[in-house]
Amino acid sequence: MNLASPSSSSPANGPPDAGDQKKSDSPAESSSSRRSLFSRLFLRLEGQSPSRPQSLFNGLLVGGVIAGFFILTFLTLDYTPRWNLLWLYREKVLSGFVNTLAISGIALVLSLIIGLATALSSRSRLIPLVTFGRMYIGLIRNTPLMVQIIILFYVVGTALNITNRYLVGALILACFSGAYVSEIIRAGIESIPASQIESGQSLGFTRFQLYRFVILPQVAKRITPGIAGQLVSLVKDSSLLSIIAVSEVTKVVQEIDSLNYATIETFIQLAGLYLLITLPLSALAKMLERRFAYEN
Amino acid sequence: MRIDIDRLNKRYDGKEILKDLTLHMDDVSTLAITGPSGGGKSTLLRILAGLQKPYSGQVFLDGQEIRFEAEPLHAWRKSIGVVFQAYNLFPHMTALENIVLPMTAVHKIPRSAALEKAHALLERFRLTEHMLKKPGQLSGGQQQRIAIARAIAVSSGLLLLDEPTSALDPFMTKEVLDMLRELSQENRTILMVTHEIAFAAGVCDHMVYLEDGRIVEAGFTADVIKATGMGGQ
Repeated sequence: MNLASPSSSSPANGPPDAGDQKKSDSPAESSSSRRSLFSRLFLRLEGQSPSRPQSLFNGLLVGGVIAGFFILTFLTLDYTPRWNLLWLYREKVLSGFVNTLAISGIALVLSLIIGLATALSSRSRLIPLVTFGRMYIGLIRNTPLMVQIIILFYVVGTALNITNRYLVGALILACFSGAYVSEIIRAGIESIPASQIESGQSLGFTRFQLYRFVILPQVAKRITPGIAGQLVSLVKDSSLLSIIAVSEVTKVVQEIDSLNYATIETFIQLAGLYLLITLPLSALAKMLERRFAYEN
Repeated sequence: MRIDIDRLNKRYDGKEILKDLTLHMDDVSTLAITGPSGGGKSTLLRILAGLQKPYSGQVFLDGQEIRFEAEPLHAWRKSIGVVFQAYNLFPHMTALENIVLPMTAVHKIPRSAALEKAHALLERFRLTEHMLKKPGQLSGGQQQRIAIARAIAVSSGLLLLDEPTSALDPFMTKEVLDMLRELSQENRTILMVTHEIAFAAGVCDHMVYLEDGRIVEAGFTADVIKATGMGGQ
């Protein structure tokens, strides 16, 4: 009984908690024990998330079916897999893995800077800036990354005499990702209601102060989930840098494969290595999304 | 305050909002701007607040012209307080920070002095218990009262309000109007667009009635209400 009043006062503190408390001393509890086996295993209560055991059970079940499908298809091949190759070359693989992380990390920071600059320039009154931003985004988003890598590395990189493949690789990825980041930030800025801008103006904020104190802090909160998702893409897209011989993890695995002819095993394991980076990032993105959904 | 508006015109996408609007009034302390929706009330207030530029025409307040070039306009905006219908407050900051930020960022008041002033205002309007809440945790009436407190914290003497209660239910409307009634008794000029005729009748010394981009009636509140028949029903 005494639990009921505090839980009703702040819905922002998490509906699941409030639901649990209510269930423990309400008659609904007894009816839940009468639910059929099927519904207890597979159905969630109306308007509620699945319980923890339910999530776990269904996760294992569906995951098992997907894994089973691939294992079965794999077994139909008349093929003796060698799973130990990446382990044999573990030092190379580790250094490739670290390179992938480093290149993605540097590219992310640079792409945030490029993206913010482009998003702000798209709101500038200076027409060449606006046009440049629009063309940059249009070109990057509508051509394949592989083409961009080759042109930027062999033509622009050579002309500007930048020979460090890792640096060029990170820069190319940053240019590529920056276009998408810019669109995320632009959408974030546009989602701030005009009344906020008017409020700020009426208080005498300069344009700079308006962005610094009012717009960007609100934008940052709204776009964090989108940016986290973009980071996941960035990590995966870095695999294409293998075509300009950047020794990131994909390139390393390709080299191991070319010596041993074991494409299937090594690439399956390569996917696992990427999941090692991207799954935590996806989880982080989802967590941030949930957190920001409850605020405001 | 003396108000002189000469042949003010404003167009939006070819549509005329204000048509040669002309108004001369003296000794205005609290002015209600009323009239049917779409008549140009909010546009007039926004021009007075320096948020929109007129197409042509001039505005003088106490003989001082409002100049619509970047620099003087910025100085003008800094010197007055404006409150809108709703969503005035910055949702990512506490009520207290909403009041403090304009003082420290725009007016370069030291933070300690700004905090002191903000605390005094919150105390005075019985909002202290809400000062650490964000706008999303406050009722519409509380948000509007914080917005008014923020506006008067930085304005020297002129407060403009654009339908400050039109988004509120009657109960919250009362708490906001009570606050405005209290403020109107101080040495401060208040210009407000409002549909609250009963409030205007009790508090505002002057009233203008705007229709179709022109002033139809202007003068003492009681006279305008009688002339337009607003007190009738």
